Parts: sequence; structure tokens; C-alpha cells
Amino acid sequence: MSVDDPRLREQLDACRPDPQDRSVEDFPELAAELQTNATLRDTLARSRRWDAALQEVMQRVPVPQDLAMRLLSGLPDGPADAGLLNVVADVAVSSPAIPASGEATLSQTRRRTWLMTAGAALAVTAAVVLVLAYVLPDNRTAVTQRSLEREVPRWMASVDPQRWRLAASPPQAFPVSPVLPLAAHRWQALPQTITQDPVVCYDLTPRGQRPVLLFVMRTPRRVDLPTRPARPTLDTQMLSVGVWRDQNRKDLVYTLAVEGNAQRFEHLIRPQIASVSVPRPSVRTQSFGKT
Amino acid sequence: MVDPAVRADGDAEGFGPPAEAGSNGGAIHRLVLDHYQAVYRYAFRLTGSVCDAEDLTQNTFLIAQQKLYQLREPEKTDRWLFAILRSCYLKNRRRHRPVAAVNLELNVDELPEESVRQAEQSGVDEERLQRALNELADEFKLILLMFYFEDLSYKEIAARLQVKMGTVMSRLSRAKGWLRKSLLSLESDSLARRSVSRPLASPRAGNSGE
Repeated sequence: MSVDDPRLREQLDACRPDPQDRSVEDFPELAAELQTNATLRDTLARSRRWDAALQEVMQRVPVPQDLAMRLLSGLPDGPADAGLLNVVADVAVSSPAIPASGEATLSQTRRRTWLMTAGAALAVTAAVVLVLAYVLPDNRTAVTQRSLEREVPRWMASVDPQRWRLAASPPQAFPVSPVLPLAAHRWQALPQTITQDPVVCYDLTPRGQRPVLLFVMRTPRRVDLPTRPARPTLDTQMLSVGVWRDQNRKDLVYTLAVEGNAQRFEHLIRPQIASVSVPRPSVRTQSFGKT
Repeated sequence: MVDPAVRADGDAEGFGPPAEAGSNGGAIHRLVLDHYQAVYRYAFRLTGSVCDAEDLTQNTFLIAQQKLYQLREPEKTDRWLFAILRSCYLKNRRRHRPVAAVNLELNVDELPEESVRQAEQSGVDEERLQRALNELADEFKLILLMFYFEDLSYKEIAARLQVKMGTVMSRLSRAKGWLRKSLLSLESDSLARRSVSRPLASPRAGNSGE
């Protein structure tokens, strides 16, 4: 049966998917017709089922997994007082697996969570630990590229979103490496229970981009590292890590963890044409620059 | 089209002075964490692009942060954010010249049972759904998303957009008809490409109920 009256069609379309919706009561003509016309009742029921299916699909949009962190970083007050790691975990659990479009699929593929990254890196570094334990036992006491790479997953996991220091002076003893063309937004000292030497973590994530963390360590141990992060020493495609020491102070060690591949790492550490330490005049980003 | 809940600059009506403005750092973070997924999904359906959706989501929360003092009913936070989002979207959208609407709609009574069953069992083609949304003029798309995404009744939509209920019903029916046609017709892509103008491109052309 076709509904010839366009007003009746509009009224049918105005009814919400929920069978409990009372919109029909607003339309006496439709309500009366539904009482006597079984075909019209079928049409309404079919329309509601169709709408319910559409309603469900409408909500099925994959959310980029680092979006919360980027949104929080973009707010004038700076990043979260609530857990970034929890956010990542929440998103990983609640994001639907079925992508909405090819574009979204690509985005989802590109944007891995820190947790996934940390997990992958942890597996890699665990293997490295075993190798080092048997092959290079003497290196365990020195600070080396491999010993730092081994620490990165633990350091990342110990970053406490509740403990970021906002709009405060960074610790003078743990400055951001002057060779980096990135400004820090916030910092926190890592718990000494998990580090052999004191470590300060800086968030260098550029606005709207994937996370970039710098770990600054001071150590009395012997340091066998270059003085510049020419290229990442570890690249899992999801996480790139570069390590180096300060040119003047041999006890100052830097570890840069970049979400992404080596290409992104190298792009980030490449000196910028614009000023490297003056924060951009954006209301979205607060930065205290480098020390 | 005006959303009375939030004006173009994000101001809500009937709310008091910004007594707590500036001390809302923790609150806005909580707000982001609790609602960013829903806001992003809405933004994606509106814009059809990951990048635009992220920008729109960011703008929404920036305005929400400035106007947080206006939020008096926490249980309606999502609606408040959606209103800000719509306002941001309308403010920044690209203008399209009104052109004649093309009749490419599938009436509600022409919906095949088999297609409905298939949609229930295996969903609908999401890419095609987004394409169909992208081709709709904003005036239709907003109403459609308020209906499907926010689960608002035609009365609530009319109240929020400050347009007549008849207008909402008419636009909703036509937009749903376009969606049905786009999703169910195998030839919808070619039909859409053949039409010089976007279907349902303007409520001012060929629209009833106003």
C-alpha cells in the first residue's frame, strides 16, 4: 500500500524509532488511520525498525585513540588533571572496532595508543634485556643506548597524569635539551622507586599532534652516548626512541620517546626555521619554553 | 537557523554571570574525558571528515571551557555540548548557493521489508551513509542528526532550532527519504553524480511546511 497523502508520510517520518514514542498522539489523523489500517501499522513498524538500525550505525564512529590527550593539550589550561593513561584505556575499550569510512580507518591505523605502543616496546625491550643479561653483562652498570631503551616502557607507564606541573618553572637541574626545537608544556618528576637515577619527564607534544615525551636523567654512572639525537635508536613504527647526552654536562642524559616512526622522530628533532623556544601566540597552548 | 540553547558565540540563554569562570580547569578536563567521544562522533557525522571533526570537537570544548558557568544541568551536558557543536559548525561552514532540490527520495511506505531486515542483521553501508549525509544541505543534515543522533522528537528539534514544527517535519521527512534512497538504491551514486546540484541543497527551494 502506498501512502498517498504527503502529510501522512511526514507524520510517519516524524515518529521516533522507539515504539514507546508518543509522537503518534500528536497526529489524530494518523492515529485514527493506524487503528483501522494494518498495512499502515506495518509501514510504521518497518520505518521504526529501519530508523533504529540507522540510529545505531550513526553512533558507530571510531574515535582517534589519542584524541583525548590532544584535546586536553589544546585547552588553555593545559592538559589533564585526570588520567591520560586511563583515557587511553577507556578509548581502547569503548571505541567500536568497525570503522565508519576509509578515511577513519586510515586514521585509526595511524593513531595507536600509548598503551599499545608501550606494550609493543615492552616486548621488544624485554628481549633486549635478556640478550644484554647474557651477552653484555658489563654494560648493565653504564648508561647506554640499550639500557635507556629498556627503561622507556617503565618510564612511560609511570607518568602520572595527576602529577603534571602546569605553568610552573621547570627544574633547573633537569633542563630540556637545547638541541631540541620543541617547547615543553608541562613536566613531572618520575617516582624514584622506579628509576635508578632521578628522571624528569617533559611533555613536548606539539599542538594537535601525537605524543612526544622527553625524559631527562642525571646520573653519576658512566655514560656512553652521542651528544645529539641524530636518528632514533629504536623504531617499532609505533614508537621511536632516541637517546643522547648533554654536550657540556656528561651526567645529563636525554631520552626522547615519540609516538610514530623514525621519519616523524627525525622531522621533530630537525631544527625549525622559526624561533625554537618562543611559544606560538596561540590561546590554545600554554608553554613555558625551554630552560 | 539558530539554536536557542547556544547562540553563535556559544552563549546560552537565560544564564547568569560568569561567576565561576576561570576556575574551571578540573571541570573542563572532566567534561572532555566524559564527552569527547560522543562529541567527536557527532562532529564526524556532521563534517564527514576526520580532520574537520577533530577541529570541530576542539572548538566545541574551547567554547565549552569559556562558557562552563552556563551549564546548570549537568545531566544535560551532552545536549549542551551538541548545541555548542552545532553552533560552531554553522558558524564556520562553507556557504552553498541555494539550488533547486532534486526529487531523489524514497518514501517511507516504499521501504522494502527485506532491506530493513538486512539493515537490522548486518547494518547499513557506513561509507554510503556518510556520503549521503555529506550531500545533504546543512538545514536537512542538522535535523536528521538531531533526530537520529540525539534522539530528539520533531517538537524538541523545532524548539531548539526555533523553526516551525511543520518545517521540521517536512525537512525531516525529505532528508529521511533521501537517506533511504541513497542507502537502498544501487544506482544512488550515479544518480547523485548525474544531478548537477546537491539534492536537498536548500530548504528554500522546493520545500513545504514553512
